Amino acid sequence: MKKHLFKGIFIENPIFVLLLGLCPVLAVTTSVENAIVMGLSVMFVLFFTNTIISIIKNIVPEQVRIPTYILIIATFVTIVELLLNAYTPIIYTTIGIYIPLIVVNCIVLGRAIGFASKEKVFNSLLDGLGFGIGFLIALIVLGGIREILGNNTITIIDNLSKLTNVEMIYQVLPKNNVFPMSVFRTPAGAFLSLGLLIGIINTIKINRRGNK
Amino acid sequence: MKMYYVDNGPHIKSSYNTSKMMVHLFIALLPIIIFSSYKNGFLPYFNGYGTIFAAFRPIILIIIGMLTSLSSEALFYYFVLKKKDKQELFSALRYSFAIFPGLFLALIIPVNTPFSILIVGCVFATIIGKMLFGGFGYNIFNPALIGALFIYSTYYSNIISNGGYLNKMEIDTIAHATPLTNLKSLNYINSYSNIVSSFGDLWDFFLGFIPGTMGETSVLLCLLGFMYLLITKVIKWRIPTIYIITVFVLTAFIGYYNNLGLWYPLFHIFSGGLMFGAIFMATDPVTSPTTSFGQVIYALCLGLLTVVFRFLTIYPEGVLTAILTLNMFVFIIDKIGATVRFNFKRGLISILVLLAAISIITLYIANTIGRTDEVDDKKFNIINIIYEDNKTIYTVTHKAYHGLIEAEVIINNDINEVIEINIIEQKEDVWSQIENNNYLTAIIDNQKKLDDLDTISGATFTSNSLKELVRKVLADYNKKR
Amino acid sequence: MVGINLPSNKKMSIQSEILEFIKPNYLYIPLVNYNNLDCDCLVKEGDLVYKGSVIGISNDQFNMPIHSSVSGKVIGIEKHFYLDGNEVNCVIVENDFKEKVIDKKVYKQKITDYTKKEFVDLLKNCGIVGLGGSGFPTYIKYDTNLPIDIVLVNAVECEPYITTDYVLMREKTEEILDSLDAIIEINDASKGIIAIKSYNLDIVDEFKKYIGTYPKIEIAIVDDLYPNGWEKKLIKQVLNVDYDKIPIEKGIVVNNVSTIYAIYEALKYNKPLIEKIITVTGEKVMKPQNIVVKIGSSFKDILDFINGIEAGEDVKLIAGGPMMGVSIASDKAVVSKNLNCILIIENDKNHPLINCMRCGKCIEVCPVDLSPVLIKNAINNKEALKYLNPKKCIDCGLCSYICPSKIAVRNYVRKAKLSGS
Repeated sequence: MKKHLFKGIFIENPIFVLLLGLCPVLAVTTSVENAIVMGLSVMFVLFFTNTIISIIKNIVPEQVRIPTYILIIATFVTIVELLLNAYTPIIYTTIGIYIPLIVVNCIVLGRAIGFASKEKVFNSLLDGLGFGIGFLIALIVLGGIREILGNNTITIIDNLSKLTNVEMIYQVLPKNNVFPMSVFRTPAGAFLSLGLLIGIINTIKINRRGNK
Repeated sequence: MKMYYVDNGPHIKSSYNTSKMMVHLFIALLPIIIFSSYKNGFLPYFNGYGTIFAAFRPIILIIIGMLTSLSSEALFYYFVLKKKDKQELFSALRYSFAIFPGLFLALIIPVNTPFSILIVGCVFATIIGKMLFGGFGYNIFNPALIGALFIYSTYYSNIISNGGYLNKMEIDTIAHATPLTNLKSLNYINSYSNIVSSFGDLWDFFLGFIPGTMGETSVLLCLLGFMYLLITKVIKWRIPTIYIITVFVLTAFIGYYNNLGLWYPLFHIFSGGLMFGAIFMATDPVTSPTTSFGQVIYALCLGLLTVVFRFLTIYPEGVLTAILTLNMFVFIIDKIGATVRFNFKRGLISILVLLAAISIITLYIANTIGRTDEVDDKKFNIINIIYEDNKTIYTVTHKAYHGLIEAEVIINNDINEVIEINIIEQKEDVWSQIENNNYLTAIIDNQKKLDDLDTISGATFTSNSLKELVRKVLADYNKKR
Repeated sequence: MVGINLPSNKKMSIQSEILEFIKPNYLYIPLVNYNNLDCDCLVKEGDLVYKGSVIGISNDQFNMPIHSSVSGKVIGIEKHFYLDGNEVNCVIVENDFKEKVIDKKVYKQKITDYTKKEFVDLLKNCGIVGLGGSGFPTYIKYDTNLPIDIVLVNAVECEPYITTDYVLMREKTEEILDSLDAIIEINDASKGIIAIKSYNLDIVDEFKKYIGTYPKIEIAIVDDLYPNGWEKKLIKQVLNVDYDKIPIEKGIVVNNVSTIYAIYEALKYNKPLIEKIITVTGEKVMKPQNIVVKIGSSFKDILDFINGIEAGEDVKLIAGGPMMGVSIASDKAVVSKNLNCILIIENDKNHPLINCMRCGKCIEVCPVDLSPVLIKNAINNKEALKYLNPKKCIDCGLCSYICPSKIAVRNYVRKAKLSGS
């Protein structure tokens, strides 16, 4: 049972291993805060949709399976969107265009059709949670790298500060000739850093398999 | 029964040798290295500009480039590819020719690049541009150009703030940036004195005493290097000849179409590092096509792309991006070149298509540039100006979404501002939006900062036409004042 | 179609006279015809044979006879190495040094008195094959209903080190011209052309002494480039004619000049092909020279006869020329009809493994317009191999010769040729 939870984090991490749903990943990881918000949104949607789809999987007829699932996913995405719009308008203007895209994100739809529609409720719940956590971790790692190299800072709570009255922006590197590298704020840097990260992770995996 | 050694293949081998070819390449580059360190380092120092440390800066940059790429490759072999045995490491390094990405990179960056940026660029070029693809012989992109692209896109502002392209002597003697950025600001078509004379005459361009990056200014030394490489049969000679001839012909056509003399194409092939890029970077054996017909197509496309990038995009120098773009297509070009050797007719089709594309694009470029002022002028027309004591009344037309807007603009002479706009005629179908939002009043209120004024959503084109109308009236009024 | 001026290395073997090694103790006649090892042996152990008697026949569509080169007793059958590196069955004949021949047949007074059919039968019975290295049975070329217009003699000898044709032409000029004239008369051809390369202008002068009396024979000079001796390229250079599969389509027959001399001996004396000239040369040979040897002589005996070879590990023994020859593991090898050189050279030290630089030189030099480096990269890709046409390769070896990274490109092309079929 535990393996359903950890599967989504390490062995089948949706971004570093399965390479699914990369479009929002490359766009929102300009700062750690945006990455956290996006990751939490996807985790929320994954958790609830997996559970509910698994509950109703026997009632839904085969022919209308996909429209029904999309309807359920769209409901939760709308909930997320309304919440973000209400409480964090600034973040909503930055990453808001990618929130409705969660509906057709390969991860959400893939887990719904490929796993939740066949397995038991508790397993689907853990699976959704695991994939959500994996997505969140991947986004945080990527966002952290891009922001440290591209901006010399780590921003955990900045645009949310109106809500919480807390500001957590950490200056990591001093400004000099080399850092910040402005290429990492652009899409080119996103592709570069994602590619190099996947390469490093694959090398580690191959070395571990070789040592065994 | 005596035993002998058994071997495959031809039992005599030619004297060609990869190591020797790379040595020839290095020898061809030596005059350029010496000249660049003289022109960017010692010449300013002997004329009294800059310190003794600045005199050695070019040669230090080149040495740092070579050492960085060599050591980053050694570290890559040691840690990532696990070649821990000393003998193996030395032989791998020796036949991987590691100093060349760093050397070429140091020759195509401005002289004022900070050392740390050069080191980062060299590491990037060697590791990501060359080693990650598989090492020598497997890379798709020219590694030096990858490093240069990284440096320009990431650190351009750092370099400019450190002095830019001009060395210590040129900052005081030349008013503009490099010749091609100057050309771009002059809208590509202008007189000889404006484009060329601010940097010297064409002879200075040929010898290399003009601002530019470190190694690519001297046309004479590049040509000498080309001769040497031709004699030792190291270079793929079709690529530089056809590339430079294509650029010459295309820019000659564009210049002739706009009534400029022979100096215009000469200016284009002498500036922007075209000679250096065509002779040393485009002919890099690993990243250029192997078949001879493929090389012809490659060079034609390079010439076309360089002209397109120089004239139609915001980047002034086209060589770097043109070579990198075409490096992606080398595989397909080789496929065409290999089949053409058996039946030439297929090659004829590709050549004809290419020539057609080149002529169409050149005609397009020749028509659009140099005429932008006229096109602009056609949009706006002053019908009448009435001068009174305290005000000036302009009756003007401006191109709008449907036809023209004719308006009367009244300027108060005392405060030099527009006080009233009366629309005489308009055919817009979104005019109600303009009226509902009191846009004309908004324009009058914001006339000093029209760029910040938002357009009305749903009536963008009309709003812009109105803003342009007022802007041009004000420009004309201020000119005549 | 281009060529390369290879270093010729020929001077070392043409200074001296032609030796004769025609009295070996044992002969090992290889039972092979045109690289086909499927031959029947017609004698058994203990039989007595004459010089020139048939001891084997090939089992393919050519049915070529295999002759014994000396008279003596058949000892047995043994395996020896052969020209292409494989082992072949050889009939061991113990020489009795009596050189007994079978009863003399009546042969023609004038060598032009043969009819076409008699000529073809004579070529077949004497076992004449192409002596330029191919070993193709010559009678097939003349056994045709198509008209023969031009007889082209290939005296180019473009491979380095080999000088057999050169010394033959120097010694037997008149005989070669007689033979060519006879062939022209017998086959109703219009003319004969002897193609000599520009390096050998002294041979041209030799021929010019006699050429006046042969009105139908001309001399053509070709450039000193490799592989100008290749049939298709030679015909294109000399006659400016392209053919599709075989030259007889355009009425041309090509023969090597040594084959022409062997035909002379067959026409005049009815003598089968039992001896030929080979060049033993190379940097490791003390005194390189040309030797007349009997077919079936062992390499070991020939090398002992010369007695001046430097031994060692780093020495290669090559049967054939340096470009297309095959290196043999031991000297337990025999002279077959299509061998024309034994080459002993130093082994090049192992070259370091440099990656392909994609310089394109192998594509520039290929005489058949192939792209060897692209074939090497697409070795497992059947789709790509279709448009790259590796089957046209003639094995000249120029691609491997010129490669700066010393990559064995020709091996990849050979592999692609095999994998396609």
